[in-house]
Amino acid sequence: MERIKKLVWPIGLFFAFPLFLVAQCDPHFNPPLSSRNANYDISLSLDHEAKMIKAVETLTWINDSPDTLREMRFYMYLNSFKNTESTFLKGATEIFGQDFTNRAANEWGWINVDSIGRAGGRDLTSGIRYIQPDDGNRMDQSVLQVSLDQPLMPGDTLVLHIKFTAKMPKIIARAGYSKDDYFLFVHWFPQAGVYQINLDGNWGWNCHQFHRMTEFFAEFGTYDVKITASKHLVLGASGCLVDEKENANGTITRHYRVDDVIDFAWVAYPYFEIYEEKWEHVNIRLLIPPEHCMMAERYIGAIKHSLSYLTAHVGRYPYPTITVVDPPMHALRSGLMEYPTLITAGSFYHTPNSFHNSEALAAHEFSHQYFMAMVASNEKEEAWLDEGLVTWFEDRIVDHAYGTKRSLVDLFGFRYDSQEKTRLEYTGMKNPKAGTIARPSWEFAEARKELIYSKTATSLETLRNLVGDDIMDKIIMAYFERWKFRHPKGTDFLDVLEEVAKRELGETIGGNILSIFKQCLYTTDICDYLVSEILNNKMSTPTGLFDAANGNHTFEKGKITDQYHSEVILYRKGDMIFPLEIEIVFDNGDKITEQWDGSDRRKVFEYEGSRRVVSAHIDPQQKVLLDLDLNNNSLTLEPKTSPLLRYATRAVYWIQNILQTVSFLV
Amino acid sequence: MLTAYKTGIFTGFRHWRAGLMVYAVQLLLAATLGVQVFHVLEASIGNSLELDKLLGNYDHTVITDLINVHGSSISPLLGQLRWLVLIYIVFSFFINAGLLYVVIKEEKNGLAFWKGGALYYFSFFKIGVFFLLLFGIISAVIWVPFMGFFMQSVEYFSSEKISVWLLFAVLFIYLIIISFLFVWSLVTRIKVMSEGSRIWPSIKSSFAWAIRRFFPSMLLAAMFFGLHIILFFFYWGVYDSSLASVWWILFFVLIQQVVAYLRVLVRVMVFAGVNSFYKAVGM
Repeated sequence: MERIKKLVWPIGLFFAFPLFLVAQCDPHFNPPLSSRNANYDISLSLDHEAKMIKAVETLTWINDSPDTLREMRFYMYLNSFKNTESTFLKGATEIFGQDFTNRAANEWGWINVDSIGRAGGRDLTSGIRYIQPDDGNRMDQSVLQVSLDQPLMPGDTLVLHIKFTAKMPKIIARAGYSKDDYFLFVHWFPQAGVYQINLDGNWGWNCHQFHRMTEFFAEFGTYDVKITASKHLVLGASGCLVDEKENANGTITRHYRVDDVIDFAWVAYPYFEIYEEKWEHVNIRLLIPPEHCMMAERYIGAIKHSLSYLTAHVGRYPYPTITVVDPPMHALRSGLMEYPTLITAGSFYHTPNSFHNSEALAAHEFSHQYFMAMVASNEKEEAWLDEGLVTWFEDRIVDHAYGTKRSLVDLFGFRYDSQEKTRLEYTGMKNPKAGTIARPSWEFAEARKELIYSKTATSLETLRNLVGDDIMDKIIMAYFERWKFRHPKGTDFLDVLEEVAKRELGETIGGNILSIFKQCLYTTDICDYLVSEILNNKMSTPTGLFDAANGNHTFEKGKITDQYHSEVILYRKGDMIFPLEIEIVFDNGDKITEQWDGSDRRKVFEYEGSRRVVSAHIDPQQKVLLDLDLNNNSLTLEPKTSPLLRYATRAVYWIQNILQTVSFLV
Repeated sequence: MLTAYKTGIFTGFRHWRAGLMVYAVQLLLAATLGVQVFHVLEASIGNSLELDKLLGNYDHTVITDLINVHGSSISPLLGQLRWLVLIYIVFSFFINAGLLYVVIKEEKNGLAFWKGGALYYFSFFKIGVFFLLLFGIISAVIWVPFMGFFMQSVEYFSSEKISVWLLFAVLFIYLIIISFLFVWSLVTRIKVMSEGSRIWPSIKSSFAWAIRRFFPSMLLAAMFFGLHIILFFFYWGVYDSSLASVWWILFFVLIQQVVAYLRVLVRVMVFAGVNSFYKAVGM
């Protein structure tokens, strides 16, 4: 018996060895991190020539609502690329600058449920129909309703067996195929909608159609996916590769698994080169075409930096892997997007070191692992909640990694950082009052990025400047800890903000902080403070007629003294209100800091004495980045001409060069 | 050819007076806009403390806020620049005639420059317009279709690497053609001025000459172009935006103006170099 025991380990190891060879990591979380309401077991085979997949899906879905359900709803995103009448494409002639109207028949995409049946129950195929809960567009087939044969009681588990076929479109937006057998499979399978308490406070389906301006929202679960594809394709996918086996017909079946995520994405391309590195427990896997390989180190560096920064300021990244996909240029429209444990970025052949846009993209998409993948807010209804937070973290990560004022571009003296770029996207808007941030994405006809991404991020940075790094970290960490692997709404974020701000700063200031952030989110107000004028008038002794004791008037002729009456006049031009510091500098070098609640339209600070005011600066530390014009926040009576001279002479020099160049041929 | 190159450089320096006059004209024209830039900046952010941030490095926030708020004051300056360029091109016929005149006649005094400019203005105007038209047509024929193709080719090829190298190849060919145009145009003017030939026959015979002497003349043009490259990198090498005191600013202004003046002298050198090469090899 003892001898048999001794043999168990070596024999076990011997048989397990091939598994270790292919297994990238251990995908299992025990205990589960999420409620795992929607679990998928999918086996598929890819016909790369026909650009089609045939798949068998088993969905295990738990009804954790108090309602008895008689139907299921599924996202059928690929049908948005079936024709120009889908809600996604209707009314547009181009997406991402690409005209899609002259496509051939084989360049459109679709997904079809061939059969669906309930485990141990009836076939439900006859009861499926497409519905259009948002806009009633009968031609849209992005949401499928399945009537159940028997009601699903609260707490019950539903197991559905689905056979489906999907034809990938030539890439229009993200999902699809491109040249040389490149495929990005995202939102490629019938995915259950979310049954939850919605913004109206009632339980119901949250399964919106696919709109052009929206992204995605789904339930947490496990994904066990077996992909059979041609041997020549290099694959990358969400989660871990746990097994692979070669088939007799020249294909390989790769088995992936990922726990506690809201989606599963995968990519295939014959020419991907693979770079792998480890950061603590995380296996970073980069799939990159050969012509972009010079970016490999930069991408991995950006991901490592993001991991370390977000771990310190938000929380731990629990997954054992992150896959970064850099698509070839012809498939760039599949890039720049986030999926759980798989992100797509984008770069160009020999992107110069002076530009860190690709790293910024990687940092942005990776930050979505926290805000979208783990804190799974509704990207369709409240996009600011993930895109705003993620843009803010992108700025912080990039500026921290590559230096403020130069992190994004630093070329021949022209330079700026990520946070500056984000602020400028908002402050440079033709109409910064174009709309509020907190509204569903499909309501944004224009200025979606400027408001949802940039204004939110600039508002959050302003908030951070006002409350300080420590308290802001506490707010974000509390929000992350409370809402990870759940579906928070905007009000949940505000509740955490209020709670932590009041606890750390007191009831009044904490309350003010909340109302400041609410005005950023829920109003179209703008912020612009201005130092209008500085006046220094010499004071004189009293002059004029004065009552004398005898009832007559005595005349006093005043004398000009060396005392000054100084006034600093400030205006609030915008509607937003921020508490502000005002730095006043006097001619003797004295500096004083005044506090202003920022509410009055006109505010005057007055001083009397032998010193004159020479300059005034509203918000000298530039905490309020939402201010549309930071240049008018200060005024000095002793301006320096050297910067003006410097720019004017430089202008002269470049004009001379232009004149010299244009006349070369005549 | 090396002799022509050396002769060009020495002759360029010898005619520093003529160069100085051209430089002064350029400076004067540029300064009319420069003064306005100064005043626009002064009126818009002259009293802001943010201006201090421009003393050191470029500050994107300060500049972009300035453009966002005071863009309407800045855009007329760009309009003026367009007119200035047009005026200078018209004036360049005179300037180039003057410069070539002092080189060919080996006159060092400033008066010769004005005399040459006045004498050959209309001839050079005709030649210049012809070559400008040719330049415009060639540029349009090459770049308009190529840019349309390039945008599509980035997605057409398996890798954008092919498109990028194609772009470099087309750019190289374009530069060769432009250099050829330059030599052709210059030899035409040399012939008109030194041999008193008529314009159209000169254009024709100069074309034949430039074709026959294609490689050495291209090399000569490239070597003189190299001087501009050296000056460009010299400027960026010396320029340090972090040195922000008034004296440093004045020092850098001086450097800028020396570079601007040397660029004018390089033009004289090219004229002298090509003239010397033409004289040496003959028709």
